Amino acid sequence: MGTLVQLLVSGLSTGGIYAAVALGFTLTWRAAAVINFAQGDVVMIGAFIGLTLFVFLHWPFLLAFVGAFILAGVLGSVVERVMLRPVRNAEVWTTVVVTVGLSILLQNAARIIWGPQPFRFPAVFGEEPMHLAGIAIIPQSVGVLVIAVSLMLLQELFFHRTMTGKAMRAVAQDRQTASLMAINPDRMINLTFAVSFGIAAIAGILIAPTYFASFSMGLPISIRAFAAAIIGGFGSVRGSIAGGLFLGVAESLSAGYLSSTYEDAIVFGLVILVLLIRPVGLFVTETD
Amino acid sequence: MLRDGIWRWISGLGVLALLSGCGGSGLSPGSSSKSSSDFVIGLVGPITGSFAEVGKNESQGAQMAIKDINQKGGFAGHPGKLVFEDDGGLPATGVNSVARAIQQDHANALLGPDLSTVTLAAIQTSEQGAIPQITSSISPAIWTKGDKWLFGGRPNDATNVDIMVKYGVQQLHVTKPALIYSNEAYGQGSLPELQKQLSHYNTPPVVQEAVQPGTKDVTAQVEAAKNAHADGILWWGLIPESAVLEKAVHQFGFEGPLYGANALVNPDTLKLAGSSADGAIAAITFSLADPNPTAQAFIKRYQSEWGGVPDDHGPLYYDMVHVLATAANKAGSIDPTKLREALLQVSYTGLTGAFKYDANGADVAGSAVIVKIISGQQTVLQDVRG
Repeated sequence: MGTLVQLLVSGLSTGGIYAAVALGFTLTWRAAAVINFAQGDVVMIGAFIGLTLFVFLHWPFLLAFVGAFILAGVLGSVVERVMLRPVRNAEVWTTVVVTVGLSILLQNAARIIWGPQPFRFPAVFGEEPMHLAGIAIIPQSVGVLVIAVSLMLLQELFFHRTMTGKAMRAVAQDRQTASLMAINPDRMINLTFAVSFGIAAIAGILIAPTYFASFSMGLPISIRAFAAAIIGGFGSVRGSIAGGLFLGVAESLSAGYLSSTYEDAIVFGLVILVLLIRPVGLFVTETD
Repeated sequence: MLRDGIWRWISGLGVLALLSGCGGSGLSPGSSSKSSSDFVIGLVGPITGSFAEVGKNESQGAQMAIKDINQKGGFAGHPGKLVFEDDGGLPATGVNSVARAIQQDHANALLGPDLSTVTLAAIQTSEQGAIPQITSSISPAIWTKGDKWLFGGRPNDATNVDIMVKYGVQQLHVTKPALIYSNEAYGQGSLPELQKQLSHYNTPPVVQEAVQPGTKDVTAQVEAAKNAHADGILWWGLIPESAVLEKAVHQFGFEGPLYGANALVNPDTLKLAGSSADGAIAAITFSLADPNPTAQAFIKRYQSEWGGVPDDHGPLYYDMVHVLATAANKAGSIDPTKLREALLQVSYTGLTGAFKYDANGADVAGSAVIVKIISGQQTVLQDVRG
């Protein structure tokens, strides 16, 4: 029983990471119908901005946290304006190629600026385990999970309770009608990218102690988070969170109870199974 | 209109920046031109990715050796020149890097790759190049391929496995080991030897678990070791996963020793794992804590030239270049066939121990020191150098 709980705790922690990154996919998809294949690399840039502000420049953590959100947000706004807006009405594959190009650009930029070697990022919530009823709980993992869920709640509040959020949803649903309602679609989509990049940067800071900050850290996270978003229901905020947690727990339990050798095969086999049985995702409802 | 034009220009600049970032390997110690009298050493290693520090160490050690050898007359009278090709620690990239070193850089000899998975992927390409190659890869699987141009920079991992299993049983008194390995070419390649040696010492693993490359969560594997009442974890894998395992063993309070692959005590692993690396034990070819005056002089010189201490790849590649020079000077030629024949006869003792080859090019000299991490530093427990 202790092992099961330990595996669940670890799985939820890992799942929290996937969920935080999957949220970024969801945001840009909802607002602009863009699948940002550079999402993992934005996470990486966020980790490096955090590393620079917090470790190299010795800013207080909260200030570095906010600074990374703002700087990545500005980057998101520029990327949308310079790289994505010009191809907004082009074929979907054009957008795919642009975001893949962005991924390569960000990786190379990071390699040039911060170098090729991985950096250890201090775990601000602490890595020394707390023992509760024989279960080791890592404060950093709990912090990641709590912040990922908080981000989900904040996003839900933002999209449903604020005028800007409602305007962004309106643009995502029907751009032309939204513009008739005096909503500026360009501004809303730009804002969405800024928020999406900002959130990815926060995710980067949170997961860097686990993944180590390196220019190549983005892709493996991207693949898992993308799978999590699909399992949960692509485009659904709640689906992304649930899909992330589901994937993290599935990985942990399959390694613990089935086979650590075939962990990846089992988990991605499960993803295929989910898609075959319920292609829209496991955690979407009618209202999504 | 004007604003659209400006944005278009900025977009163009972005694309240019992208293209400029894609080019180059990031490290090219030699100049691009090759004189016909040069002895070109193509070093294939990782200067990007998770193993970037390894490639940096390899390059810096090799450059120091070439500088020394050139001052003493070079390689059979030919000045040495190093050309670095980045394999990124990735098999597919490694194949291209080896091909580039042979076809584009016109290398007379190859050093590397280091990662067994890369060496195995590129073995056909390197063999077709028909030039001597000294690899620092140690997977026993490499020596079953019959590549007559391939030589070992250090003994294959069967030697290390033997040393560590024996040390685990006789010195650490581990009788119920948990065997954990990384699920890629290096870990898988050493698995049969690990099982054989554990069986030989009558200490079969109470549990055997794999760790996927790139994983950040090894809770299941450590829990399995605890549940099986293992009294030690014997680990065989690479740097990133070694750091993850060290952190997990510490966090989940596994009581027994963590010992095995050399990555456990690599300085790069220590940087990533921090204090969690304390207590890890492994056999390596060169230790910073080695009291030998020659070793300490090398460390001092390395620090003054590069601004940091080497991991074991720095001195190893320093030695590997010297092995090439010894063979070239013995053959009196840099002709590939003569160089290969001379390598088979070479006997050289350097910073990382002795080099001596069998008919297959495997290094049979055997050299290692067993070290333990104490307060973040390597401490020599036992010298088993041949």
